[in-house]
Amino acid sequence: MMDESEIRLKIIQVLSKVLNLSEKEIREKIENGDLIFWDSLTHLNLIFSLEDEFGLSFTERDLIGMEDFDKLMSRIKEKTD
Amino acid sequence: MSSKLIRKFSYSDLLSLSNNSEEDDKNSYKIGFLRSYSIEVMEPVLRGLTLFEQYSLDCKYSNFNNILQDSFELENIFSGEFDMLIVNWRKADIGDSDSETAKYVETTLGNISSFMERNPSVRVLVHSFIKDEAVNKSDEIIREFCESNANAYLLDMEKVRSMMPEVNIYSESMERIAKYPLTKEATILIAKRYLSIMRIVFGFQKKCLSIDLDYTAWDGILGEDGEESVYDSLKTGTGYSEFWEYMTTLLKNGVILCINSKNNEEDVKQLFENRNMPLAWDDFIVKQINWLPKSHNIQTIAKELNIGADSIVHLDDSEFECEEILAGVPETTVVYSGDGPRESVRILTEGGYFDSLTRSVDDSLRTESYRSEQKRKEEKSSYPDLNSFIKSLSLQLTVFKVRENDLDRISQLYLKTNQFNMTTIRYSMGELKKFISDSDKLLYGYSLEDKFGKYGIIGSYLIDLKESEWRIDSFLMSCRAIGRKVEFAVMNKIVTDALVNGVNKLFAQYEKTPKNGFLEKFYDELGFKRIRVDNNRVTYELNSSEYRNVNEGMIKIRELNDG
Repeated sequence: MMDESEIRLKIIQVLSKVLNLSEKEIREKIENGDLIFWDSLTHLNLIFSLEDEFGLSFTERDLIGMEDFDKLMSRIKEKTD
Repeated sequence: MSSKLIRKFSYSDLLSLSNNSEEDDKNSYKIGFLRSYSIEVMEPVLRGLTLFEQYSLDCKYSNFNNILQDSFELENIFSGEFDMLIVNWRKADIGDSDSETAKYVETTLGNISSFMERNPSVRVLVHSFIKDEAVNKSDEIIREFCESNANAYLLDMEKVRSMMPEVNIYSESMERIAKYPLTKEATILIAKRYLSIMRIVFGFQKKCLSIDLDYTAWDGILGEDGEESVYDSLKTGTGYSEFWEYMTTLLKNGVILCINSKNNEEDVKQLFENRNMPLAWDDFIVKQINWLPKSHNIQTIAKELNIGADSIVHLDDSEFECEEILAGVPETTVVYSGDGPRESVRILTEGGYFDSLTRSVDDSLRTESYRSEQKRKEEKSSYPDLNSFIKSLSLQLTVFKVRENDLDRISQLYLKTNQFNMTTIRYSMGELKKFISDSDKLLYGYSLEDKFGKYGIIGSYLIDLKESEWRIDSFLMSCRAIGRKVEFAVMNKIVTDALVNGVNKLFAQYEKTPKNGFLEKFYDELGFKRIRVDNNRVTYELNSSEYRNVNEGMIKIRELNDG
């Protein structure tokens, strides 16, 4: 079972790959609350990457409103529990 | 992640690779997508995978789900020239009834056909429909189009589906949310299929699989675990037995197998002699079993086979060895086998490194031909000089006008020949087909035979005919036949034919590439005069009275006047 900080770290790693930013930059963006800028193409590629890394698949319901970090975090936490 | 090592990649690995934008001096191809859904989602994956290729891609997209209308004005949609058109559609997006869909498909492909006639160098790749959604009629039209157009290729979605039986191709929820119907697995696999087809049509096909042995071809270390133990790991049903089955298929399809391994050669030879191995010792053409750096061995393999290291795929379970090869011979394709034999087969199959669109008869001759070549090499050492060796081979050259039946092989030569190639113009199948019926072109092929066996069709030349002068547009020969002075016999034939037709002025061209430097003086030696030199291109002129015949009757030539 992954704990919250492990999930957090893994999401940050994925975000860093998908958005081509360093993990530090991602952390800063999360703190400043400005990580809500995914266009649909990036969003889809992010979803695919998260599914792949966490070995899960999102349903349509999961995906709605998953566009900021906190929601993403809580949705993945639910799914991996 | 900056290494060029090919391994099992996750979706986000591919995305992060795509951010690696160093695109050195690779050939870039312009790809136009006609699309019925947002296929541009795939682009980062495609770009990530292209890092391992010898070419890069520049993708443009048509209007969204407007294929039929766009097909009327392809030149405007993709302004300027492009190299390949990909028709990416699925049944669900086009037409409400079966007959409507068939009509849509038929009209679109008709428009594309006339576009292809106007642009004979453009290749077209068309997706078929998968069965449970397709009306047979539309599917038939698509297949018929690909079969009857020399420059059209099929992306067989049924094949894609059979390659990923455990996962769906389409996902309804993704489609509703993002208007993108493909699953992530299908996205990656279709991107790989694109690259495999491009490798073939643009002339970057792989020819040789070089394998490591311990933990790649069997489980364990031969030198430590012993014959019995490694042989046991190949038992039917194991991943390793599947790996050997895969290699057997490759061999049948004309792929050259080689060994590049740190081992004692004698131990390995004994294993093949004492045990009933799935392939024979001699099925591996070049065996570099020693303690030298593997990059060195790769170069030896390339040299012995007379191919470029860029047409070799090496498979190894040691990351150190993989990186050592990539550092020394970066043009080699190196695949990591450390995730087990099943994963190795999967990576190689999905990547389609050894796929060929049409298997020409000469492919099955290939290993046989490399084997006769080893015999020739042994014999060569017993002759005092090259000429007496060549005489002893009793070479027979057969020259013939290319017919449609020969096109598969001839096209393969135009796409794949890098070394003995005067101008390296990569004519497409469609262009070559046109030359056959063109009254001001002469497209010839030639095949070779000697006392050790047949080489098959080994070369071709293309001549532009003008009333009083001939221009040699292309002249190429497979690396298998280099070193036998065949090229001089072919030139004799060309000059003689010109004279017979009352032509005594010939023009020729040499375009220097990184691979054909040894031909720099070829035309000079034959008495051609340099009339223009720009950058890497030299234009020559020959008055036939100044032609120097250097064939000296060593090779018999005959022309095949068909039937």
